[in-house]
This record gives sequence, structure tokens and C-alpha cells, in this order.
Amino acid sequence: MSLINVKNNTISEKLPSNITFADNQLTIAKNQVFDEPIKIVIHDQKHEELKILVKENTQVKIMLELANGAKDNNNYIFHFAAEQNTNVKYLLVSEVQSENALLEHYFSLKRDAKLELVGGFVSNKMVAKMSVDLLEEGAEVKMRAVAISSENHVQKVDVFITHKAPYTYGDMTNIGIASKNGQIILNGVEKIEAGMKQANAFQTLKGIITDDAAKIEVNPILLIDEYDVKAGHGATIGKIEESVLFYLRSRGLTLEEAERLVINGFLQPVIDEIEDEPLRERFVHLVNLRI
Amino acid sequence: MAVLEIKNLHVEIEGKEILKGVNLHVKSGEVHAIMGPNGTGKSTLASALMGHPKYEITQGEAHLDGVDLFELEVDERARAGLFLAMQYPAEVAGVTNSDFMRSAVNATSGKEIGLFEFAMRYEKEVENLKMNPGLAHRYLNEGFSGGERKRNEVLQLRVIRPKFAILDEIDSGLDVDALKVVGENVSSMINDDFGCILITHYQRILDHIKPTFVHIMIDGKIVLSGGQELIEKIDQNGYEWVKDELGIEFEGNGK
Repeated sequence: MSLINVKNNTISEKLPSNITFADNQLTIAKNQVFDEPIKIVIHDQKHEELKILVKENTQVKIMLELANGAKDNNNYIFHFAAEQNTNVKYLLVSEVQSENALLEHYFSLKRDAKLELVGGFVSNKMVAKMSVDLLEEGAEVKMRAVAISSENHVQKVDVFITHKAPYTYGDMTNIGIASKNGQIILNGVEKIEAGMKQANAFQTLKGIITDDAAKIEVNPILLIDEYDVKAGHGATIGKIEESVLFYLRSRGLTLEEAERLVINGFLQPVIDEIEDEPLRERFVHLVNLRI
Repeated sequence: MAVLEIKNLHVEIEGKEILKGVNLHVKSGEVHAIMGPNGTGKSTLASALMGHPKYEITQGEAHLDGVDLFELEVDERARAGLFLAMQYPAEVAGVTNSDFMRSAVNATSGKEIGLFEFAMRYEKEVENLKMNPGLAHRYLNEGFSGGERKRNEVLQLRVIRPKFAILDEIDSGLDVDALKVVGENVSSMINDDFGCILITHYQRILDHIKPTFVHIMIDGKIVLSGGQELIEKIDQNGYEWVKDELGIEFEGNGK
């Protein structure tokens, strides 16, 4: 795995030959297949510059980690662009401890670019806006995000997917889990503009609360200005089913263990994507502190 | 030897009384078959003993080796040695069958079972039950067929090894071959450390699991107890004769 530390808007490591950094842009060369993921850690409290560009025909997995420990304001703006025929897995793990954090992350995909976007949110107070533009035919994004809030945590995750070309595909499955008085707001907006025929747009939003004081709001929104499309959306919120907890407890697991098992089950698809062992362990640990 | 003692058990669901004074004394080594028409409270007895929150105990007692079950939470009852094979086990996504069972073995035995020891035990039982070995890595009951779920309940029973099991209609919906496999796997467990309550409204499972006692439950009470001779009588005459013989009235299907 290549590790890239971003601190004071600079990178001190020597980069591999197929990755370059100039004018705040990290460029990943064309026609490459990366066997190992690239992990980028943002140490800065404010970072409004970083651009990541994946050049054509390249296949790569990128893990972006936000782990700033400062309590006051955090601001992040990132841009990601994938050129033609790229195949990218992009994992974002946000665990900043700020009491007022804003994250804006813009993604744009060109012809036949495929992006698998996975987000894990275990921050304290954060508004995260993830915006994906499908710019050209064949562009495809599959997004899965989980946000876990516990005592006094408020996390809002807005996901926008905009179909700006025909034959594009967008699918999001976002899950919020809140315990104690934690709050989560999940907004999913998918827009298909006029003339973008044969576009596919799917949304699933799920909220699970383990406490009466916890709050989750989910808003799945489809804005469709074209007839020849496929689209669907669904949303559910609730506690873990009583029958499931009864079943697990009847096998000797305590209520707490049973809830943990069910919630970890929900998170498994995201956890499986975190290939970096220490990061995965820390993420699982943070999640389990919150449930 | 263990004893499960139920005395004058009354249970309500949403304000309606379903069990109206059930008495049962089960010792390890014994199989108690509870038979009766649909809707007479057999499954309520099973769920109430395990502690399903929907059921309210209004009167009576249940003790396992002297421990008051109704003072215990669901999981504490399991750790005390009680097991319920459910009629409709829940699906749990993201939790693999084998991981779940290992957690259950650890929880009920109170000590960590080694990975190797667990795998040996699990695989042996999967083979005994003629189950697809691939089920170990599938999510708990997710996408399992009806028959696979019933076998999976018996698999848990055999892996967890409780003192007492309540088997709630583990025979429903099984074909003849599956019934034989399930029946034999339960039957071979009966020994000085294990007893069970077998709830059924069919007779076929009792060809494979020979009951020590047969109880007929009607309208929330055990109205008649006896031996295997009752099975044949029910097989031939349904439950109508119980009504005449005992002079009691009940609603429900006679056969």
C-alpha cells in the first residue's frame, strides 16, 4: 500500500512514479492497474484544495482518511475526477472530532468511468456533502455510506447524484445508526436531467435507532425530467426488530451483544472495503463505542 | 439430572388469556410431546418459557433446577440451559451462521471455545444433519428454505447442547426424508443430561422421537396426559373424543 500524508497542504513522502503532485492536484497516471490501495491521510484541520485526478484506463483503490483531532471548526473541500474508462474504488473514512465540521466532496465521472464509493462517518458534528456528476455516457456510481452517531453527535450526510448524460447509472444505499441522543440526517437526491434517456437511479436509505432519545431523518428524493429511465427508491427507519433480538438472546447473547451483532451485520459491507488493517480495526472500534 | 418444573402457568397476550393453568414436570432423559389442535396455546407455552416480551405471565411458576425462570432475562434463561427451537426463526443479515453459533456456544458455555474445536463440532453436526456445508458462510437464515431453517435450528441445538429444549413444530413443512434426519438427530441427544418438550400437531415426527409422555393441550390447559397409546388414538380419531370423554367444550379443528 502507498501511504500519502497531507500536512500543511504539502506531501513530504516520495511518491511512486505513477503518482504525481503539483498545484494541489494528485494525478494518478493513465493505463495503470494498482494491486495495492493508495491511502491518503489528511492531517490538516482545514483543507480546501486537494484534487485527485485518475487518468484514463486506470484501475485503482483510494482510501481517504480524515482524522483531525481538533475540537473547533474543520473545513474540507475535495475534488475527485475520473477520466474515461477508469475503474475506481474510493473509500472515505471520516472520524474528525470537531464540534463543527463541514466536508464537501465533489466527484465527476467521464465516459464509462466506474466508481464504487464507500463512506464511513464516525465524526462528532459534521455536515458532509457528497456530490457526484455523471458527465458522460456509461458513467456509473455505486455508493454505500454508513453514519453512526452516539451521545451528542450530529451528522448530516447529503448525497447528490446528477445524471448529466444518457446511459448513466447511479445507485446509493445509505445507512444511519443512532444510539443515546445521537442524531443523523440522511438526504439522498438523485437527479436525471431532460434528455438523459436510459439513465438508472436507485436509492435505499435506512435508519436504525437503539434508543428513544436518538433521532434519524431520511429523505430519499428523485428528480426526474425524462421519461425513458429506470428509477426506484425506498426508506425505512426503526428499531431493530424485536423478533430478531429475541432470537439472538434466546441463544445466550445479552441484549447489548445482540444489538451489536445486528448492527455490525449491517455495517459489514462497508467494513469489508477497508483493506488497511489498522484503519479497519480503528473504524470497527469507533463504531462499537457508539452502539 | 436436571428438572424443569412448570406450575399453574397463566399467560396473556395483549390482555387475552391464552394459557389457563399449565402444569408440567420434565426431567432430563425424558421427551414430553405436547399435542393439540391449532390455536390452543402450545406455541405460547414455548415462547413464554423462553421469555418473549409479547407474552405476559399473570400467574404461576417455572423453575429449571430450582432457578426461577421468570426472574431471568431471555439470555439468562439460555445460559441456565434452556433452548427454544423456533417455528419461524428470524433472519439476520451480515451475521454468518457459523460466527453466530460460535458466539452462542461461548455465551451459553461461559467460556471461549477454540476456533478449531468449534469448527470440528460444527462440521460434524452439519454432516449429521445432511446439510449443505456452504450454509456456514451464509448469513443467518437469510434466504434459507423452510426445511433448511428447521435443520438449522436443530443444528444450533446440537452445537449448543442445552439441558432442556423446547422444539416448537420443528416438523412442520418437512418432507419424509428431512423429518427422519431431524427426528433422529434430536432422538440421539436424549440422555441423562438432556430432555425435551416437543410441540407438534402431527404424529409423524413421533415415529422418530419416541415420547416418554404425551400431553394433550386444549384451550390453554393440559387436559390429558398419558403414554404413546394417546398418539394412536389421536391419529385415528382426532381430538373430538377428548371432548366427549372429558366432558369439555372447545373450539378448533377436530382433526
